[in-house]
Amino acid sequence: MKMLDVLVSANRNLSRSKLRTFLTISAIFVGAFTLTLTTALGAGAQDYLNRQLGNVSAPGVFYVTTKTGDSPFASDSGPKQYDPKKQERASGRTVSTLSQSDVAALKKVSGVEFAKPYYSLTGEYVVHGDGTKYQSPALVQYGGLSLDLAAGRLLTSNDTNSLILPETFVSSLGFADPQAAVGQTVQVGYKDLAQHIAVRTFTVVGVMKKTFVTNGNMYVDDESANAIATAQGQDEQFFAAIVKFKDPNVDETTLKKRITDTGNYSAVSLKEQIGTLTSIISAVTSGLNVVGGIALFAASFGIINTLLMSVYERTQEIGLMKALGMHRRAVFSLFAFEAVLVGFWGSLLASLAGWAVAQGVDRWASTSFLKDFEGFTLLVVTPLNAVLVIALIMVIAFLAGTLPAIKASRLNPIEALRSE
Amino acid sequence: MSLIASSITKVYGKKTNRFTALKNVSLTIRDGESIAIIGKSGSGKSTLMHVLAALDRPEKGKIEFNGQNVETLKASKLDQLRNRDFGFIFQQFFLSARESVLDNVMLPLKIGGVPLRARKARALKALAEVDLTDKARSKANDLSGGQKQRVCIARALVGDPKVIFADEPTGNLDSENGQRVTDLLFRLNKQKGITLIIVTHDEELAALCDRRLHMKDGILTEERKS
Repeated sequence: MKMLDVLVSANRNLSRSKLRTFLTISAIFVGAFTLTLTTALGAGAQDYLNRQLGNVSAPGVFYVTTKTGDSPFASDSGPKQYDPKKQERASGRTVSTLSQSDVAALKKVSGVEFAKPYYSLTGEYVVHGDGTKYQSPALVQYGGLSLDLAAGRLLTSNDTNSLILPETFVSSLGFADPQAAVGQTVQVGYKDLAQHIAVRTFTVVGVMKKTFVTNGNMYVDDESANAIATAQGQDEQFFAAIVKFKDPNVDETTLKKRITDTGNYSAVSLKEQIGTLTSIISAVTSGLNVVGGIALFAASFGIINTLLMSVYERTQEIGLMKALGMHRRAVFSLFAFEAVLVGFWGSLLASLAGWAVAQGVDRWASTSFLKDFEGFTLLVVTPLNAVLVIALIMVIAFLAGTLPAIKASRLNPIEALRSE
Repeated sequence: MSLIASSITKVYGKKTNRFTALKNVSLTIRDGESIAIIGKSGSGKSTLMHVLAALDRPEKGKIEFNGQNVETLKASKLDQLRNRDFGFIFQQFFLSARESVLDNVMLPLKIGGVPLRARKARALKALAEVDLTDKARSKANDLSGGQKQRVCIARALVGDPKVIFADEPTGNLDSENGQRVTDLLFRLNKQKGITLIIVTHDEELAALCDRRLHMKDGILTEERKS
């Protein structure tokens, strides 16, 4: 028997008992629909995260800090001797800092493209022309993140007096839209060591979208960051350094080891930084996937049940086909195909429905509770995910179909024909 | 065509329920013969037919079809043999009620992997043979008993078999339709040289056959046409 004929026959058999087929498909539909939405939720969150941090595509970049050897909270620790390399934070916690000599040491690590201080500086105000002065966000030295931009471009190491403006400042500073701000100048005021306010003029090279990670930061070029840090006396003590390796293809742990072997440092890759968030998201989505999985598990019993009933009902027909020379394998395929078709139709409809629901939910969410998260699409139904869900469910349906299919293929034609 | 059964013994059940359906049955069927297997129910006549048609395997003995030992054939070859060389007609018809007459007749060709176009042409030819061309598109369920059995004959005929096995072909029919089916079977026997092996209660039908084999308690006795 030709495969195409088996497929056509399977489809025809399904359409013979429409209600039963419909109900079995419905059961699959529920499971597949759940799975489609949970993967869409996971994809949406992951997509947002990737765009917010953008840095999964920045391999070979590490944030380096000193390894804090002695715990500031240890109960047996008495008064500590003053150490100029340790900075007291407002919380009373001592944090070790890095100095230029550390940066020099990091530059010598093999394969390093650049190593530079990662300054996080305090600004006083931002203003455009003669407009209103707004409280300045933290001035952060740009470290190679591929930020989600609304307009303009990212900073390069050749830029001077340039910054990337957060989108929230665009209208406040008097620009019509993000694009209008690009190429314009803004003045940033900051306090120097003598508590005098100095002003530096920057050209806006890019405008970045509002994100929950970089919120409140304004990224400035290396040269400006160095100048301000020097003026504020922070250039000798800073919390972290950025190290970038030349070859991005080298294993991350190898690169990390090179840094930690150099001195008392700990290195965190950008990937690891978002890794925590990613793992939270994947924990939530896999929890939801379990729900979808349970629904599918129940639905697969529906398939077994339906097909077993079908085998009993069609015992004579199967007997006749075997008597007329239908091979066991063909009988097996016939029933297995029916199961796979049920899975296919159920999951295809579920994907389409999931896609439609995602459109609706996203439209609603973007105007309500996700209003402040620009670029966050809650549910993303990607064609790849849809195909994977459909394929997975077809496999599950096939497995569910094997029991009835084996039963059918093993029927003795004479006994089957004799049965009433 | 030759079909030879030598010392066939077929046993059903185990231990206390043991029942010997065929006891040392030997028989030779030659090309183009018409054979009636007669006997009471439970005499083993249906079992004999099943064994001859390679639907059932005997415990002892040998079946040879065209000089080939059927026992040694692989399952797929056996399926192929039934599909290509044998035709089957059953008392209960076993038609798919909701499918068209044409689909029912095409079934053996579909199983045999014949392409759709050729399938249709051959099925229509077989339907013409049983004078049911005009019913090709009808649902099998909408036919009368006599018409149904003629569809079954067309289905048995469609693969150009060498042997047709008929299990009580007139059992469910009135005498007029029974006569028509009988005529049809013998016409195929005479014109196409198809060997007929008929299991029947019907004395009139049996009387038309070249040879009548009587089955009683699994033992075969033969009565020649005078």
